[in-house]
Amino acid sequence: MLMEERISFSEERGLMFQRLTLNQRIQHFVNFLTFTTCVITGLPIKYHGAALSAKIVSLFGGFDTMFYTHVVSGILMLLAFSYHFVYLAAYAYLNEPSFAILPKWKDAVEIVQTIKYNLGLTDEHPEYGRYCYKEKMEYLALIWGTVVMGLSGLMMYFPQITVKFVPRWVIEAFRAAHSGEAVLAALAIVVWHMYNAHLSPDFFPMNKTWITGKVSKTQMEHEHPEELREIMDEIDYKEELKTDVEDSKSFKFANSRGLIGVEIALYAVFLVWLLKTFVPLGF
Amino acid sequence: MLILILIFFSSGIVLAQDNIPKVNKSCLTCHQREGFSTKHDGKEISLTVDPAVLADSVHKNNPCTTCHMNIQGFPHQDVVYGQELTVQVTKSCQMCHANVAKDYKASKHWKATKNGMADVSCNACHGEHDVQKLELTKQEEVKMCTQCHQGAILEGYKQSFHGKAVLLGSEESASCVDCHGAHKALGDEVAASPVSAKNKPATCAKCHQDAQANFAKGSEHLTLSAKDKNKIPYYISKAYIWLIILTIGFMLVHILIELFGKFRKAKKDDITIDVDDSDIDLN
Repeated sequence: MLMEERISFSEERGLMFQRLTLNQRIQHFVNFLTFTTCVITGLPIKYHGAALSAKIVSLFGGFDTMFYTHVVSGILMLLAFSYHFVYLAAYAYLNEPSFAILPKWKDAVEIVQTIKYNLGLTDEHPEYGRYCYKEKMEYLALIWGTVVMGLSGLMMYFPQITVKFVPRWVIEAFRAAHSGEAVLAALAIVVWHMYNAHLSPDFFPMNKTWITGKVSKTQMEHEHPEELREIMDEIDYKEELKTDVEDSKSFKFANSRGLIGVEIALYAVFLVWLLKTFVPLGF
Repeated sequence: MLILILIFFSSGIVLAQDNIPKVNKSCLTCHQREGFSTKHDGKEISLTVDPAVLADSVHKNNPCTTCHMNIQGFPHQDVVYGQELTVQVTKSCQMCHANVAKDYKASKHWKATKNGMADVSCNACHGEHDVQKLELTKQEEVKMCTQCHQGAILEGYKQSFHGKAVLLGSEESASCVDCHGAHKALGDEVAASPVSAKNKPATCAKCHQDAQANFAKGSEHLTLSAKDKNKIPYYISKAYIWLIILTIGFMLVHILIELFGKFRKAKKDDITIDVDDSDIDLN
């Protein structure tokens, strides 16, 4: 996409930069739907004794329907996953391959600096590029998670084929991984993704980029200053752009100490719950 | 037409009444009395039979003496109680149910009943005076079997996909008798058993088309444990617990640090004072 097509202007939000193409937004949406469906239809199988599990089963009109919904949704997720790699290959062929999402030493430095900044040990906030370490962690976790869940899921759903290659206890081992990874992935989305996209005071109640695909210049200065600088360096008609209009729609709650206070309590309770629930299971 | 139907039904009623064996009426003269009992070995034994229950059973047209064969006159001779009665009645079942009785007599259930180890007679599963054709759901069936079969067998079944699915209401997944058979419960050490090493592949193949020999190698009633022959699934599940604690724990701590940082900044940058949890901007 040409740089000119990526930049637009809004009276309320100032300069707007295209961050996600329609294709990417659809990929996210399919992943969102299939992931949520798999979690809802899968957790009752893991926690079959829980009262909520029986309720979810009856919502589907029976176990077998719920289970087939799980399998179909899993297969759709794998198709979307496969498509993503076709998409990456096509992107690399049509443009040039981008490795911006891969972790670099800079990310390790930025994690430390971000924590230092938030603890008040430094006044300099790191200048994130196209993807910051939070986004990289999520993307790579999604790749890893889909590989583990997809592979183990297929092994369990086609046991006759699997045992042609490996002994049966291997299915049992992958079943344990499917079960563990499911909880890890669901919690990671609830904690990490829900915070970064919804509950972060910078975006509360929601970062709309997943729908509009756009990010304002004000947001870019905050979230991806290095990328913004690179874009601005690249374009030669800077004078024509109205760069002085600030985004009046975003950061509404960024300084709300009430919201931040409530969230601190929420995540503190979550941390206690996590330790109380999982540490006894670890021995 | 209506008259025809009426004639049909009324003749039916007459027929049914006629079919109740006369001898039962004689038996019930005494045995329908409430509180009718005797003492044997110091224990109070009820001799009451509810005629309504009997009339509702599939054996309603059988004389009492079909099952209580030794009772041929009054006063009754050679009356037996408890386990002896159980064995005696079970032997009379085969007079009519010869084919099934042949299977049952080969089973461990008959051996245990005969030796007085447990009551797993015909009546234990099918009922006594209320005997019915067993049309159990998979869930009711598991409930019946697990009245006796508890411990590691039940625990392993509950952890297996078959068990989880059936306990959540599946009508397709395997319940006890799907693998073990009903009347011919032999135990896996007997070659003729459907769950013997030799027959297992064929038993699995009842549902899992073209199941290989490899497919049947492994335990179905498996509980994850470090003591098990295959420790790997156990250690994978434990590793995931710690992966969850460390990953989600890191995320929560990272979020909390960020929120603390934002809380502090919100105060510093905006020169706000806190009144009833709402911020007033002095700028």
